[in-house]
Amino acid sequence: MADSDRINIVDMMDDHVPVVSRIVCDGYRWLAENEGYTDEQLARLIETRGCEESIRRQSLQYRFLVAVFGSDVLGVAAIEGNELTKLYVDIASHGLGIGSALFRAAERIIADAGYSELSLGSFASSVTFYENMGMIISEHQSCNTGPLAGRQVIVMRKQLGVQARP
Amino acid sequence: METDMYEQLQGITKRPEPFEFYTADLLWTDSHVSKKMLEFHLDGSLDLASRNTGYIESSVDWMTRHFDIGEGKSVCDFGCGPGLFTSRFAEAGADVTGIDFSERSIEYARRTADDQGLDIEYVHRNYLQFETDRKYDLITLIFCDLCPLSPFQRHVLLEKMRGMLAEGGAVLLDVISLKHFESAEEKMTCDYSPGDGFWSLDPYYAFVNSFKYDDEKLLLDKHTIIERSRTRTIYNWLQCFSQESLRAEFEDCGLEITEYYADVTGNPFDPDSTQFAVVGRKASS
Repeated sequence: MADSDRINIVDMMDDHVPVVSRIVCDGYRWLAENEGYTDEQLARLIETRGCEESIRRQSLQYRFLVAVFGSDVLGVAAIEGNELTKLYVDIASHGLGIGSALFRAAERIIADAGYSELSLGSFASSVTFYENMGMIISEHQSCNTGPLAGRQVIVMRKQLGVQARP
Repeated sequence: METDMYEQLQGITKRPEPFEFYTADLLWTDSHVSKKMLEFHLDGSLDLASRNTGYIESSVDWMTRHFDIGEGKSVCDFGCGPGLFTSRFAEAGADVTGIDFSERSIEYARRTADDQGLDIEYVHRNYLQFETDRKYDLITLIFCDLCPLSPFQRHVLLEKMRGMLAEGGAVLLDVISLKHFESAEEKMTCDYSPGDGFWSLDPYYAFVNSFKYDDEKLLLDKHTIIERSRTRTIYNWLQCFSQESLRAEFEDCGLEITEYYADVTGNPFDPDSTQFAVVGRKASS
């Protein structure tokens, strides 16, 4: 549960995009540090997945949710079908329940859309968070294409209706 | 090469959005910096990380009288550092908890409590993430520690404090005022440290860019620390408050400000002061 009941999870609007881009890029930098990405991999991630133009492009494919406090955007998550992706939280708000709030909102949306399972691709440094959200490691896959080609992705799944750990 | 340097200087002098970057952790988790912070805390003649010794003594004296601190009372000090206030509250007989993000400070505080035979609960934790079921008669946040926090962090912290208050309990904290904001200027400085400076044991150049955000009444000192082998940027944010803006944030979290002071020694509120202190209590519903 978010530390504050004043956090709202809403659909991303166009004026959220610059902050969303910044949060996603910071998330990539955090991942790069924790997962040992090369400078080139990080630069390509930011260029193809994190910059404002790419966020706008991806918003045609994914439903982007943002966590807002007043007018401040503190986190982002994206959904396509039953897949959750791009769950990142503003650095100043880490550990304050924003990620959990975004996860639960996405989970509800996916369940309401009629899916019985939520899936996502994670990396080692994020697995504990997702396990606490009730996700279970399903398999390890190798990225075949994109900026992280050759790296292992940990595929995690959750049967919907299963409660997250308190 | 010239273009590289020009672009680097552009990066160094670039104004970020309010709270766009956040590096407060580094002050408490970097081994060298946390050591320097502790040295500042423990130098009783300085006002840099803690208050000077005379101020602490008169502050504890006023708090003890004003909040009737003693046997049967519980006090929680957020950002307790090496325990300069907590040990004095414990000496007065109170049941005391101190929370701090600096492992080095907490270790020092625990050793001191042991040496003095004081039973104080010290918690090494980011206080924004501190959880407890205990209730306290007095919760303190001293040395303007609310001011470096983002609006959401402040909201989380004040809500947390409200939830930790015993019946009739009080929150005491001090903040930077708009007088300080008005007198602050945007500027840039560059200094050289030949070694064992605040930011590193190694020699470094330190650029400090000071920014003002008029709409938010927010100040930023952006430190760019350039060593031979690494460059770090540290963002020290400082939210300045009017009585009204602080009251609004308290009310948003179910707290009402019941008293205003010039500082945490209980001096009368002074509109010309660069700081002020408040006592908050649970708002009557």
